[in-house]
Amino acid sequence: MMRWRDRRCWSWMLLALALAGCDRPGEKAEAGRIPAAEQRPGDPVRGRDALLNRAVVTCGPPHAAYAARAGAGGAPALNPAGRTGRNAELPYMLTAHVDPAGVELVTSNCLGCHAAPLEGELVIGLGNEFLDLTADPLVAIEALGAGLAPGPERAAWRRWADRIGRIADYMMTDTIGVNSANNLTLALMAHRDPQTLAWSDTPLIAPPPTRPLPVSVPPWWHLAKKHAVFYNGEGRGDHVRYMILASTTCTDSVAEARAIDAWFVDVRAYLATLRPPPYPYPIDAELARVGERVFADRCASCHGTQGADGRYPNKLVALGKVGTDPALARAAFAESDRFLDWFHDSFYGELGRSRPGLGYVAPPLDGIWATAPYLHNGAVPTLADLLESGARPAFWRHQRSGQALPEYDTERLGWRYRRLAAGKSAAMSWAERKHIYDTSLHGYGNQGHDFGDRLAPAARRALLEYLKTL
Amino acid sequence: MCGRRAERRYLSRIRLPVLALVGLLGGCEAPPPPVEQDAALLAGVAALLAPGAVPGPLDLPADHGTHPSQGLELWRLQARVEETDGRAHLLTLGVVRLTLATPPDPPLSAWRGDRLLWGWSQRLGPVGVAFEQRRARAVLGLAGTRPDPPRVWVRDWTLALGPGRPPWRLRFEDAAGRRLVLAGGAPALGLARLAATLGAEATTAGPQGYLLPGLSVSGQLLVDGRPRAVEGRAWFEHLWAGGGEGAGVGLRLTRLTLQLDEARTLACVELRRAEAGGRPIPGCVLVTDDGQVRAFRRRELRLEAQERGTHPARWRLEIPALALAVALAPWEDAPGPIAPGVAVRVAGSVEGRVIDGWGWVESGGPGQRIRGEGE
Repeated sequence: MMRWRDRRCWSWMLLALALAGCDRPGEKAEAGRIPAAEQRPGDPVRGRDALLNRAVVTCGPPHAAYAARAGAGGAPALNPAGRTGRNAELPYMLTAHVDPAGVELVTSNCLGCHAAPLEGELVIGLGNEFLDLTADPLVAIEALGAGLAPGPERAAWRRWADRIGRIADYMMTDTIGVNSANNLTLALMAHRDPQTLAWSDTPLIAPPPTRPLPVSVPPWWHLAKKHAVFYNGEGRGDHVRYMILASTTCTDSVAEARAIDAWFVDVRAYLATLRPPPYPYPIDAELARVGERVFADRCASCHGTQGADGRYPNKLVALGKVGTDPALARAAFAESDRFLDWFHDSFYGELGRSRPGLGYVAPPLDGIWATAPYLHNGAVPTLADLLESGARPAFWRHQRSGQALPEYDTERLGWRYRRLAAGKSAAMSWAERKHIYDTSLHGYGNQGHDFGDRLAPAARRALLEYLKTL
Repeated sequence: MCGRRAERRYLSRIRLPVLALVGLLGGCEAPPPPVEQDAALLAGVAALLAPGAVPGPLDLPADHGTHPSQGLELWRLQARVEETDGRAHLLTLGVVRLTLATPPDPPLSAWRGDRLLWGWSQRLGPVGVAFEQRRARAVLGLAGTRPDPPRVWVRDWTLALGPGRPPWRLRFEDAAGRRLVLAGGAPALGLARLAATLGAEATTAGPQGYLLPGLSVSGQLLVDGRPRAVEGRAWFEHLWAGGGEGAGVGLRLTRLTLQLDEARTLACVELRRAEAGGRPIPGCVLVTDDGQVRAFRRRELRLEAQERGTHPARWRLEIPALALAVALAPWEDAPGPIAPGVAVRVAGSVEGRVIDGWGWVESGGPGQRIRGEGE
């Protein structure tokens, strides 16, 4: 029989172990519902203007160098209404900014990833699934500065160029269309003091891998429903500071971060007003009604329902249940403690908790027709493939000519693609390799979410028709 | 002599960069003075890969011919040859054509032309360095180019380029009895392909050119004034540019062309900021004699200079996908960068096999100088 002193000893040891296991109290999440958190109020009208015209990234090449390279091109294509001043002359993914030395800069903005053309119009909030992050940016960056004489413009270029030089490897992907912004964010954290946000050319904590895990950019119009910003349930509490964290290339002080945060609450308020574009092709209404019943029976418990009385459960589904590629969730859960610590020690963590989970959030399905390819990593090219796991291609590439978008496939719901017999290793050139989505690569798997396999073909067909209406 | 007084009068009216090049060419007997690199030869060599003016697509066989509309054009062979007794020599032999100002029409004299041709050769052998040059304006048949069949000559030096498709066959000869025949069947490596390893997109407006790797070379050289039969391996380059591109201000470019063994040629470039800071951007292309071409980008290789200076000759190169790790060191008795570049020995291993190769390293950028013989 255990003596009292032994029992007391064991109790202390258990408590000590429990505490040791809780050195980051509340920072990691279990599967299940994600609680709501109040968001700071903002003005959506001011927010739209700020999104289109204010610089969240505060460094870039001098406008003179940019213009010399880009040439005078008149009004750029797809520029949304509301771009004012110099911004009206720049492509929508660039924003003019004047730095403290008075140098006019051209900076990147949120729309490079979070806006995309659809049916000839730019849709703000639609993730750009054709963004090419495979190119090495360094030569173009050096070329932009090559003609700049010493002075404020060269100093401004150099600041930007040096930053990009430090983080380029964390941004570069090996497949067109997948996004690396989450990996970039971790790299930016690694180079900053969490307390002061001062930049360090050498990483202060171990940086993330230089092979980013692929991520499909989720649509902004889901933000109004979501309680957590990211796929793995991470990003709870105040959303604004998570949003600006990926754009901190040159935000080198708490004062600068606070200034951006102050107007970005308006941007978040604007994003919360976004709605998906309606499906532009014919819909078989009767078949869609059949599909709605299938949806209510098989999908709604995780993905929620639509309409005035619609509800969205904000459910983090465990990896074991959803079965989709686990790499992204596992990396954030098990290999990122240093970044969780950084976040919570910083200005950005003052109002939120990260709380990554070992699973993925079942997203709202508003506008799902427009958001191909599917799953968190963009591994499944169409909704038809998503609903029939055996039909999913292991190797595929979009069927497009040059920079033109592929045609939309109204049967399978997604961009037309070509099924390939082999993956990247069989490609004869880099130019060919970067177009191939290879599900055999780490993080690129297309497995899981096989719930559609249990549906009869007719039910699956009806469900697809209903999904057009969302 | 070379009509230098008339030449000086003519040159006084043309722009400074051209003056610099002519300064390099000046004097048949005297060692040429130093010149600003970005204004001279490297404007037609290193700058051919400068960003903003990246090489355009290659159009063979037409591009194997001459490009008289371009301001700069260069033909060059580099070889390692052995005499029958095994004595080895490294040879560079090139001709550059530079278009100056358009002369008045009609010209004031038959000596007045708008094109200069300069040929040079450098041989590193067991008994030191031999350097020769020829220069002339393209007037009165003293020098010139012919498109079909392509041919370049400057005084007694003649380079016949042969057909513009494999199998390649090129021939050099001079009045002193040197003659070399180069032949091979490997594909031409366009400079656009090399620039693409840096992430640069080819443009039609940029400078262009190509490398013919893996050539066999045989013929006769003069060693200590006596003819010697030689044979070995070589590559040949043909580059052309408008002349206005110039290396980007503030950028340095290094080219490394390496013969790893009998069958493999590795061409690499490294672009870096001339001032401190920034990240070097390297890229390599491997060409094998059986026609395979394989490119490696910055993130697929590691290239590091092992010494400081404007013309580093000591480098380390690793390409994990090839299991390649080699070190570059100056060729024995190499006198330093002459006309331009430095010869190197390549030692290391590829896929477990020992490498004992050779090559050239050329570096260019603002404010640097090419040094001529005797400096």
